[in-house]
Amino acid sequence: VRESVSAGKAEDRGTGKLRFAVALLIAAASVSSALIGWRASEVSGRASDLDQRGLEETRERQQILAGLEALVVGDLRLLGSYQEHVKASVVLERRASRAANRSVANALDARAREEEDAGESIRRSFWSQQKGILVEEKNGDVRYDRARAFEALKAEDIALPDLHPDEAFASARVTREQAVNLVGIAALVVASLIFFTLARFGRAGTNSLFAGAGGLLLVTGLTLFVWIGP
Amino acid sequence: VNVRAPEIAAPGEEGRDALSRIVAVCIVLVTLTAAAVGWRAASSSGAADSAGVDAQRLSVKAMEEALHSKQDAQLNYELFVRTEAQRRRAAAASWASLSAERARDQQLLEEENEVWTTVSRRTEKLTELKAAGRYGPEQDLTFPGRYYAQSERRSQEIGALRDAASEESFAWGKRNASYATLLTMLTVALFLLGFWLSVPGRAKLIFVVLGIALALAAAAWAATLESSAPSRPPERAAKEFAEGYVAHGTQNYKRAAAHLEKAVDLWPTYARAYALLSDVYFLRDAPETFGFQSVTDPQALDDSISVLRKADDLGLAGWDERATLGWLEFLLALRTADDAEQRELLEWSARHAEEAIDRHPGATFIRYNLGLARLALGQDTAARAAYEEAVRRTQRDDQEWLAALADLDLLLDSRPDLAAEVRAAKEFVAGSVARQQQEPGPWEGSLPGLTAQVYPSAVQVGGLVLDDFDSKRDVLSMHWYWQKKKQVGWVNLADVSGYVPGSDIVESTRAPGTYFIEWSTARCLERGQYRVEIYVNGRLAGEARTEATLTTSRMSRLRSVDVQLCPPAQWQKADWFLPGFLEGLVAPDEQAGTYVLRMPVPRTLADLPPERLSTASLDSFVSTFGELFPARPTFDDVSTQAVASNYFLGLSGSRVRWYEYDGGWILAGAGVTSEGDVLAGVVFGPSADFETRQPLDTFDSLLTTS
Repeated sequence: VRESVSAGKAEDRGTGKLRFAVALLIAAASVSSALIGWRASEVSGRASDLDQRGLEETRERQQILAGLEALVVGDLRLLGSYQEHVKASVVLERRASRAANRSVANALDARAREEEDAGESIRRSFWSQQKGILVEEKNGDVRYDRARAFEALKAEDIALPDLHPDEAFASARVTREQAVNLVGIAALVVASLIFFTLARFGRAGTNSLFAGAGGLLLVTGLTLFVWIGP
Repeated sequence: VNVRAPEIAAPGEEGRDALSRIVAVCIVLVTLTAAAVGWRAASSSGAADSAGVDAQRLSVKAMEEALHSKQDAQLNYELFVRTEAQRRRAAAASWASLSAERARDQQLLEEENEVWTTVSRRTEKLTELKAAGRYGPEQDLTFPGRYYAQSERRSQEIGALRDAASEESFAWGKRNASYATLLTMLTVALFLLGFWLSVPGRAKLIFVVLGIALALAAAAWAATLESSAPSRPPERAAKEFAEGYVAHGTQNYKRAAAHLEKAVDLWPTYARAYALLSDVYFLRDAPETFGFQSVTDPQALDDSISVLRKADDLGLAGWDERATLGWLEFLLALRTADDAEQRELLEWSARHAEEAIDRHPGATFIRYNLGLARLALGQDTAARAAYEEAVRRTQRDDQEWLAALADLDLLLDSRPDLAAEVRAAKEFVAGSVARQQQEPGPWEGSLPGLTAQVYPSAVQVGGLVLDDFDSKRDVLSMHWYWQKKKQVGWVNLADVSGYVPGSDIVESTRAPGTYFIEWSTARCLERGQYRVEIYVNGRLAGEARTEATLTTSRMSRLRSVDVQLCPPAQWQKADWFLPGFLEGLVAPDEQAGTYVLRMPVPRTLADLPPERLSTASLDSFVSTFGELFPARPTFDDVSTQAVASNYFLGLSGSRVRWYEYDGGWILAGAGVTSEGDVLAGVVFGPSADFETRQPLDTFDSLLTTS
């Protein structure tokens, strides 16, 4: 009889300890899930911010590039007219030098000067005045290096170097994945909380089973959080 | 002694323990499933956000690309125009040199010609647009329409990629909603299983069974969801769509259909591709390519409506798709023998037209379509209201009312019982559009003796007896219709239809007192039935029909001499080419062809009357450029005497003459243009060719474009 009594007390003590431990674990899991949830929300917010920043930078960059492109296109609009005057000037000058009739030669020469002057006034209107962009050959052919002109304008722009939308989008993608993973971890910890609750209030036969499952989930969740949470 | 009684298993206790274990395992599984679903929901939400951001990014990029490509196309076009202007300056200097009085002036003008020729060659190298190139004016009657259309390729591709990202984002969002429902189901299942802890007796079994059933259903749904994930359509589909879009814009409908079919194969949920494919199927077999295309081949109609309905099912509900769907349903209704089905289709047609009008009240043609559908349904008052609203928004130069008259004929062909209503509607439209600009005069005569003549690139209605007609007071409109195949129906020829100004009504020289109207087209007319209606002050005054047996050809332009014509399809640009003076087309074997010469009147001939000037110019042309023909030609007096009309391009003092050479004939015409130049044209070929209509059709098709 005595043995039975002590065995019953030992069993009660064991159950009591388990319940106490489970209560502590519930508290720990609750705090952990709140912490992980807060962290997930913060990371998710940061991903949205990065997306937003990426979009804003994309638009701003596009606005700047469109403005620069418009300058290059403005130059290219002048190119046809400039080419016409330069080529006409060169051809007229050449034909003037070959003309047998002096009066014709003088007239052609005068026309060549007119064309040259007209070409020069257009040349001054080009936005890109850097060497190597607008090139005039001896035969009057004119070349405009569009890519170089555009790159030169981009290099001069002070805002462009600070705009990296692709980097912002890449960071957003990584951060969003991190937020999703944190939500997964939070779900694990919440699941452990349910198991602990069942262990605390359930029937004697299944308490340790629930407590074990909950503990496993909590440890896994916390390990993962330590690994990818910060 | 405080001794606790040993636990003795009550009857059924073991069974309850077994149940406890099962429920406990279920709770574990359900909880884990809920956790997994929660994680997948977060993951899917992230994917939706990511795809949504991608869609926005691509949207900005598409806009950037569209702007860039339009600017580039515009630059190339401007350089092309500059090249053409330089060529014309060269030609002008060359012409002027011919009539220069002093040697010095002549030399300076020749130098000027050289300068501008050299400059134009250089400028041409700066642009990718070439006159004879794929998108140049010699290949494209809508120039620079096709060139601009092809420049949209990249922006359309990016636009399709944006649509793909947007569709993916939408799919993830939809999946998210499923996850939310799943989580609810699993929570309820947990709640029911939880009753096992507190509810005594057998009642808890009901909760357990319900909870397990709900959890199983949720698990099955989750498994189904996980078996497939939203994915972005392949980039190749966007490329195919862009190619199809460009081919559609450049009117290459076979190529467009091939690309769009590939696009929908790769991306079966792309509504825009289906809508475009529907348009392509319709236009591919449509007989008319100008203005409004109202009809097509029956099979093409079936294909077109089938894919457009697919686009509709996928949620594409723009005003354009609604209007098109309404029109296709009307055409389908006309073909349907079953009265109930016809009525249902007409009701749908009217409903879709009304929806389209709600979205875009400014699109007048839909109001005409609505009026037509209501008329077919026998709803005369509603039809009248739609037509009144349509004509109120129509100007005399618009094309909508011209197409509306032809569409009424389609209804008449299918429903002869509506003849009176159709005629009344046609007179109402023709009269009302005229009345907007001018109060109709009192002329109420009829035109019983009308004749219709169809030339390769012109139409003529003759026999108009217009006693007391006053063009300042009375309003006359001419409407030409063409029927390629009976089963397709009549189509309106918009470019030769409409209000006729008094200056275009010309008195016939052969039959004084009768008048004719001749309008030229910007294309080559095809064989088939032609019909013309003349409305005076909104009343049908007369009509005439004719059958044209024209040889099939395509429009070509001799831009250097400002002439267009309809030659046989295989003729190509002749090697002989004097810019601004002489240009021609020849058959591959060079045994047949045409040349046009434009030149300023030489000083030595300036005093001649225009008729003699034309004759002298022709003789000079044929003898000076004799090597253009397979053998040296001589004048054929007999044939020339038999020429019925000396009409040539409407030029003053025009003359038509025949020449012959060994084995062939030359039909030649010349006249003086309003700018004072002589314009001469010849068509030559083997004698056998002249036994057919083809050389005469080619000659008749010559038109000035200046």
